[in-house]
Amino acid sequence: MSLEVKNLTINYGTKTVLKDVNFNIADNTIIGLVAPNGTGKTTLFNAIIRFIPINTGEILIDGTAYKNTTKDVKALHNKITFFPDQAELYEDFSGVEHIEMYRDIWNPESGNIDEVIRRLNMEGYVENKVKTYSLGMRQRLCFAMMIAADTKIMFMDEIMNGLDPVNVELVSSVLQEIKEDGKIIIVASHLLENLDDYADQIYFLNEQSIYYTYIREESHREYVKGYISEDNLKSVGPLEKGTLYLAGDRICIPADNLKEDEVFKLMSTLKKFSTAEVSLGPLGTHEHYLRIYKGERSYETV
Amino acid sequence: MKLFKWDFLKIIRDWKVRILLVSLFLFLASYSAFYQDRSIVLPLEELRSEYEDTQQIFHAIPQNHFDSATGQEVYDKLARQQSIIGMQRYILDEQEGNTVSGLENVVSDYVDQGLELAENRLFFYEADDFESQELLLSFMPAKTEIENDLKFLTYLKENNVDIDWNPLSPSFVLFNLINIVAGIFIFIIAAIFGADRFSRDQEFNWSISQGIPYSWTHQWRQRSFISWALIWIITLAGILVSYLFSTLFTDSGTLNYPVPLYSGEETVYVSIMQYVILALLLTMALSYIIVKLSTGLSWVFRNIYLTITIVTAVFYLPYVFALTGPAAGWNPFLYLQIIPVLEGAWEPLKNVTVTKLIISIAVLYIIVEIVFHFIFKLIPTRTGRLERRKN
Repeated sequence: MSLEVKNLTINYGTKTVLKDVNFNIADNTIIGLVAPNGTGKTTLFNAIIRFIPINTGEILIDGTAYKNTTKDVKALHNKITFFPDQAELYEDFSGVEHIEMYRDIWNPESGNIDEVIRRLNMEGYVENKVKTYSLGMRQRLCFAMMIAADTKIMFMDEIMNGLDPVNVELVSSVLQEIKEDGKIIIVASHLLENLDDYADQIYFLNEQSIYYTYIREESHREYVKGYISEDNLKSVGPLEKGTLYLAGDRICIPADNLKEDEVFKLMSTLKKFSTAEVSLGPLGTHEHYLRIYKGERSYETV
Repeated sequence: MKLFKWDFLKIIRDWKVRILLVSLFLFLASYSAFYQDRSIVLPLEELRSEYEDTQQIFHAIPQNHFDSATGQEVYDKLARQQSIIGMQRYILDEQEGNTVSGLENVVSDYVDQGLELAENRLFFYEADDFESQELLLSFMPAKTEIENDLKFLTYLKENNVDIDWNPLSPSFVLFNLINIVAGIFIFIIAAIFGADRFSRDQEFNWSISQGIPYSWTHQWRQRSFISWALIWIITLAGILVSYLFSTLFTDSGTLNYPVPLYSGEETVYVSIMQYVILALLLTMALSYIIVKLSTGLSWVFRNIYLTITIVTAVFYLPYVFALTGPAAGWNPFLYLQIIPVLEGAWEPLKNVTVTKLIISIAVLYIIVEIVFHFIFKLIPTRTGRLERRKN
């Protein structure tokens, strides 16, 4: 299975929100979709699932185009679910009823939902009415509904909102498990470091289109990453060519040409100037985010 | 079928729906109790008035006008009329049925006497050579009314049904209740039930109710059917309880009692039971269209008050089309009101029949289906109203 978006353009009146968006996602893939608020993440989801009219472009699944006809939209909705808003759950329904409802609508042949409930540690509250739930409980319920629906393509918008670290980890690991069933999962999230834990590829939306993508497993160049203020930067001495100095005093120094003791020394130096964590590894989603949306600066230009 | 269960639960868990259903049931079930409190004119009192009218005729018509052969016959029939009315008053006063036990030979039978009375009155319309015919007829009911009386009494005789002295008998209460339900009442109920079937989801449960693999048309039909079924389960239960409750007050009357039904060119008499079944079936069919209209509009406007106003206004469309004269008989929108058709209130428009009413309901159903087919096809679900998530 593959999800392909071709030349997608969305206008609201005279304002163009998305322009010529193109991508092709193979199955067994989790895509992290990253962009600041108001850039068009939700619009992209709404357009693919045909909630809003598409000005130009095509949505193809396994090479078949799905047009804006009743028949095609119905077939499209059989293959795609999107993450419900926790504030829009039915307050007088229990969690079990919500999960059963999604199962009955998308996946009626599947029987038991107990495994979903157990896997997401929801046994303690799932029989209660939703109006008694906290934000985190609601988010987990929304996720459980998606799992019960078990569609091939899943859009997970703001999935980690309101989850504590334990549940963020739980949801992340479940995402990786279900991906193996041949699914295509697109996750929009503001927990950028967390995306690096499970996403196979990251899409950055900018300037009305997919501005930049990178495949995590193919990012091998190592960096020493830490924080240092602009005042202290000069006292560190000359740094490697290609060093990135990003917004929020984030510094990423290429380590692939450094010896082990030089790396250690550099990390110790950075540690002296900031109590924040200093790490060694490839550029992550957080660094790319700063680079793309907050402005890219090389060390030499500071 | 799986979606049906969840749509049903969504509706039945809505507190507004529950309150409406309970209110609807209480109103209908208690209708007979309230009906007992209304001021009524007993048939006995009507006869008393007719008796006095007959007396006045003798004073009003010059005595010499009775001298001719026709005049003599008119005199005899008027005298007989007074005698019959007097005996009918007595029979009604005794509240035993068509006669009075032990006095059958004296007071005779209410129905037989009524038939004789009606025929006598028709004779007055034929007595053209009677000098005071115009004056005489001014004291008489209209000819159509007398002919209907004849049909009514013939029905009683043929079906062996007693005259009912009590306008508050359970069958009359039922008849009145059905006429209320079949009017603006069902429009308002249907409008209220359908008015937020979609708007509620659009406003409060958007992300959880969109994107499901069922067409809007399918969901529209399903939600309409559930609302319609709930309305009628409660309505029929309320009507039944009301009827049973009214039998506690009095045991007079019967569901075989005749009531008028306009059938195109003339009035026929059918039993209250037949009338109730006919009126209910027609109202159920029409109300299904109204619920569909209301539910569909709730998808379009997402404003409960606007939807209720529009749907209720539809009830008054027949008055507009009635202005078009005889051509209105072929206009399906004229039949949005059932009771005027059954009562013959549209009689001046000609050719307004129950058969056309049934055909019109089918036509209206098709019109609503076609209109909403295009509405669901052409209006996207969420243009210009994209909201950010609330969390």
